[in-house]
Amino acid sequence: MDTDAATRQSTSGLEWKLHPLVLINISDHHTRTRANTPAASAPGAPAPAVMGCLLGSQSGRSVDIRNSFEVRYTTGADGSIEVDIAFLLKKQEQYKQVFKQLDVVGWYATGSAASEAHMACHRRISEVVEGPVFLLLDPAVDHSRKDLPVTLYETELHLAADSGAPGLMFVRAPYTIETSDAERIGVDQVARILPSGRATGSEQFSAQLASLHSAIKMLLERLRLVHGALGRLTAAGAEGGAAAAGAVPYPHSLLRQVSSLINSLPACDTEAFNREYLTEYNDTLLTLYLAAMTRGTHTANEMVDKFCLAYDKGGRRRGI
Amino acid sequence: MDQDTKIQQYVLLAKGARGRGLTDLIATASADPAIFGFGELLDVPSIKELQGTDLAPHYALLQLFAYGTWADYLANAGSLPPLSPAQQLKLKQLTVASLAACDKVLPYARLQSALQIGSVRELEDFLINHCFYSGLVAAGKLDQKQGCLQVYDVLGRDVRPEQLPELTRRMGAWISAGEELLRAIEGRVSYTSSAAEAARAHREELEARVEEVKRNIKAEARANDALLDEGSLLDMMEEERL
Repeated sequence: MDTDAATRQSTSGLEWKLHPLVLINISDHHTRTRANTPAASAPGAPAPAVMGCLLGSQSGRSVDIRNSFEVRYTTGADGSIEVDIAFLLKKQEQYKQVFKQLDVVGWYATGSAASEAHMACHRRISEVVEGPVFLLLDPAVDHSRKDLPVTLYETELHLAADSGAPGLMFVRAPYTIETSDAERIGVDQVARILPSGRATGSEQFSAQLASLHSAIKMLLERLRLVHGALGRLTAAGAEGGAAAAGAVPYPHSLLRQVSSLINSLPACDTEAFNREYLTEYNDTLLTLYLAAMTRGTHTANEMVDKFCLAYDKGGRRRGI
Repeated sequence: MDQDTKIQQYVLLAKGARGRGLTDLIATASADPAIFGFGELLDVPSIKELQGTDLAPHYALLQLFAYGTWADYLANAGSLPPLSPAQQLKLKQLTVASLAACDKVLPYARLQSALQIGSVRELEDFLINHCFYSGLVAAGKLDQKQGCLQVYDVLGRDVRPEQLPELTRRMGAWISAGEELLRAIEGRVSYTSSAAEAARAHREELEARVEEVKRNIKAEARANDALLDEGSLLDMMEEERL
């Protein structure tokens, strides 16, 4: 059956590069459909499958999948999926006008496994586009999986296991995620803001500190490497007289660079710097203190107002 | 690095030459304006052999260029071969490098005494032409008002094998400081998140209590309104006076 495509690997030799925009589009489409269909948003109900086309460009043996758009489809009575081809062609033309370099390179669907219905669709789409690739996104969130629940399938002519007749089968194609700088920044922002709904102050602070943390960690990794090398040199020199006699010749230029690096520490320990730093630190603390005092006074003021209002000794009746 | 390739060239030449030929080589290498490191040359076997012979002064000269300063030269001028002006310049440059390695801020007075340069003007010219432009002091500033040279980054001089443990120790100190910084950052992050969490929980609790009190008062008010028809105005006035 086509469903044991999970074990097969594609042999076409094409390199598939996936851009994050496509993934964001697909997941957005899925979420929107799920949110807008009242029956499906009940927990436990199977999410409606969404479908669409993949846009990209091919250069040599590598294909870049850059963008995607949604496509209407209707489900037949027997579960077969009927794609609205006219809509697809119109959208394709419109996208071609705007993005001249992008062609339709394939189509996508959400679901847990490639099925016969997908194969039928694939055949239908391959009439419009040549050699399409099929991207399957599994919308079920699985926290134990480390990789993306995205699989790329290509079709190849294989002998079907049971009938012996040649038929198209889905085979998995390996892909890589490729990002340009602009995409990376955009996805980073989205990833940071989405989980909480809005980026609160403490979370932005944590994110900033986290990036600082990872940068310092990388620096320390490299320093440890050099430190280890130095340690080995010292040990070799201590036990065996001339270090040049050992396996490692005394690395003069390296040591010169290391000594210049270490001599540049402490980077700033002058009187002037310390004074500036402490002044700025104290200023920030004072400002915070002032803000806290103002807030406290304000709250106290409000409370006093409420107290007077509530326990007015004038004796007149208050209207409720 | 240009320095490395040039040094390699000299090393190759040194391996080929012997004895007298090496003295010229040492003189050229030490005067070469691009080279500031001589450790590799010191390691070449044919140069090491110079130590025992009567060409020992030249070996001592090479060692001076590798590890010593202008002051060392002046102290031992008798036992060392005379220096050409280019070599003297080089030695002075190396002296500046040594001084800069220890202190980041070098007052002019100290530089002048170390280099034996008379006037401030000459000193500044020397520093600008031969230290900054030649790349010895990779990054620095001349502060004329306070009369000092501020050094940010200077090319390293040769490292004696005896200095290795010290270097390793300082590097180890740097790494542990970095690790402590990492821990501090982690502590800060967890503190921020827990404090934010606590503040949010507190706020929610407060709002819940306010809601509850509001509901109670409304219920009371409705109950009181019902009683109002029965003419218990007196009770209400008593309540207010409390």
